[in-house]
Amino acid sequence: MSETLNTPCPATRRSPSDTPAIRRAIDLGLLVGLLLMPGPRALADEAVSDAQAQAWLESSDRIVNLPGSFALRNTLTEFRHGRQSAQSVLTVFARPTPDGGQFDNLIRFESPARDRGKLMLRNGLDLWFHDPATRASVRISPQQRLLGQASNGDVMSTRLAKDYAASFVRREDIRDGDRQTRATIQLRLQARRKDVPYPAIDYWIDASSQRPVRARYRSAEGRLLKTAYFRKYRDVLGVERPTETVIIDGLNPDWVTLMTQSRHRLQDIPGTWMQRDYLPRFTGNEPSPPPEGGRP
Amino acid sequence: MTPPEPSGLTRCARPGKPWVIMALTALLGAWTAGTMAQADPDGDPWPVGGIDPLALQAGDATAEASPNPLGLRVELSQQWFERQSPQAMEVHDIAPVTAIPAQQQRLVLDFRREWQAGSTTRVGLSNRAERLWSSTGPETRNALREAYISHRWPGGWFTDAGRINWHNGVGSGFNPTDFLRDGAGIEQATRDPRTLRENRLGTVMLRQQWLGEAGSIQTALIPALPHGNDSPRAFGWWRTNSRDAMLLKVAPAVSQRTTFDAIAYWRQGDKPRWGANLTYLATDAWVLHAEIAYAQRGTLPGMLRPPSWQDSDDRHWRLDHVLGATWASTLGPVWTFELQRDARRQSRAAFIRLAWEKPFGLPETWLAALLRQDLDQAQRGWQIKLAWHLNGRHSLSMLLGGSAGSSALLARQGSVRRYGLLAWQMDLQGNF
Repeated sequence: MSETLNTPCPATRRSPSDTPAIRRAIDLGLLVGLLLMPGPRALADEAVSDAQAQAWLESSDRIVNLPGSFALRNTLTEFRHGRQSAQSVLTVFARPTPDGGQFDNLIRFESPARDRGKLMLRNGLDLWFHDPATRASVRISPQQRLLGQASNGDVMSTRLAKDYAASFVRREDIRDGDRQTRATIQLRLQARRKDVPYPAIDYWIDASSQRPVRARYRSAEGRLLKTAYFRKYRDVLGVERPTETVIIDGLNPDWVTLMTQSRHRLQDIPGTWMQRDYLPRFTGNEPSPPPEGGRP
Repeated sequence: MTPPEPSGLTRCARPGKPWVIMALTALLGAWTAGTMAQADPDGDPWPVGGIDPLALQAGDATAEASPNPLGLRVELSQQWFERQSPQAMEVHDIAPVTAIPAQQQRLVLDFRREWQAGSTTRVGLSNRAERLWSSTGPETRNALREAYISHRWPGGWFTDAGRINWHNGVGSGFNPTDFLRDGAGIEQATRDPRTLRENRLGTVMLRQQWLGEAGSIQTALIPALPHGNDSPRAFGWWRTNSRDAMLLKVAPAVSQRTTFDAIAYWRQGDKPRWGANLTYLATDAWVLHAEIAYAQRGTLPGMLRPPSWQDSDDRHWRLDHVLGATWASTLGPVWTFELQRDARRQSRAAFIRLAWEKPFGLPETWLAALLRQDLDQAQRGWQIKLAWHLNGRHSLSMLLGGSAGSSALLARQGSVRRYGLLAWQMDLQGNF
């Protein structure tokens, strides 16, 4: 028998000082392991009512959308494999519906030249596409894409709080569109109706300001359709609003669209603009003075 | 009682036991952390290929809107086709056909523009000029499609006067309610019904429209202008305004899912013709449409009447209709399916159309295809068009099409069996 065998190892001594040492070692190891874990997860059992979640969503909507009727320019820049592949410029005219719940939208294509003058109209479920070359209006379905990766719903003004029911998920720190860590609240949005573009949305808003930070749009089966980051907040008519959205395809992350908004302005939009029979007459140059007091 | 000591060999083979446990625990924690991070199925999958999508920036030439367009489109095309031999027209309609290959080059200047004349008045002009070169020699054509003035009155009233290409109907391949189409067609190197509707002669009319929240009402007075000749450069007044006529269209606001309009058309010497159009949004991806027209068969122009036509057919009333559906796939292609019945011509057909922006992910491309199968005369027509947008103004397209089967009517008209076309288009811009 070796001297090792004949010499009791210190670890086997059942002395009172050995057991605490082992415990300290285990505790220290666990602590190191915990420190290596990703950012602290929220306490899943934080109680936040659905009403509060819905209120947060409404606050977020007020940041994204201008009050009343307005117009803005939307530039869509498409990237494939990191290289710019296409660009479109649109003018969006948005008018609250008579019940004030949603927006009716009229989009005019400004660029490229081959698409200039084309129109897309949305009155709730009623979508029409008008080509001035054919002077014909064609009814389209919400699923039909006219703008590449960005869906019709992506470029049109909409109030999420009217179409979705929000519930609280957690608080967590995530990286925003500028790769900065931001304290956010994650909401789960469920479509109230079957005809909204996305059945479900995971929606992150800033914990203090309710600014939208990130969104993940999902199919009814939970499949990720696209991810969007909201960034480049600028002062737009007195409120810090996102002026750029990065849309990343859920199946092919190589396919990215930058949606940049500019030239925001309050503008009285006549109700006749939002009718399909008016589309052949629309020029966008009709006299439409800004609303008095800056509000329509 | 003291428990037995573990074997000395085993015990002595574990030197520094607390540190070992600490290290193992730390590694376990790190592995768990990493696993948890990877286990998040929605963790950012980028960068992909070294590209961070959040680092992408739009080009500096972030497109300002295109300058005020001139409204002129230039098109150059080369066409190859096969025609039936002239002798076949006199033989029984199922006689063998001799194909005659032919070519044609075409230069098109397509102009469309509106000008603002005051705050409430607009003037519009649409003209298509063509120069063709073929084995039969060069030919120049001109089609004044539209020339009109439009004025907006208070209260949602509008007045239009002049030559206006006013087409109606929700069908994709056949429009029985498009009452103003007879005689307005222009020969073109396509069989796409939509393109044919776009490039046709307008009808001279005085039109009044009211537009409000309840919908729209339009009335048009169409004068007879039986002047002109068959020259390909003529205005063709007699083709579109052969007789006095009136058209009334009512389009009430129904609901967000449903649209409806009703049309009535009276032309001197004919019984009135009635029509209706209906669309319905069935789901996120499906739009249903129906178009019907009720008229006497005698309203069908003579050149379109089938060989079986008899004099008594003039007085028979018939219902033309189109029943169809459009499906927008999540992958991008848009399909349209239709069943068509042209009762005046005693013809039924099935029609399919495909429109696909960026087919198979090809950037800056557009694919369109159609197939029409005549269910009564076993005759089929098809066409495929692929366009490349070289940039915002230049496009290159390739078109293939043809027809198969026999048709006494087509044989009489001298049909084209197969054709192909390569075309380049450019949209010109400028301040004017």
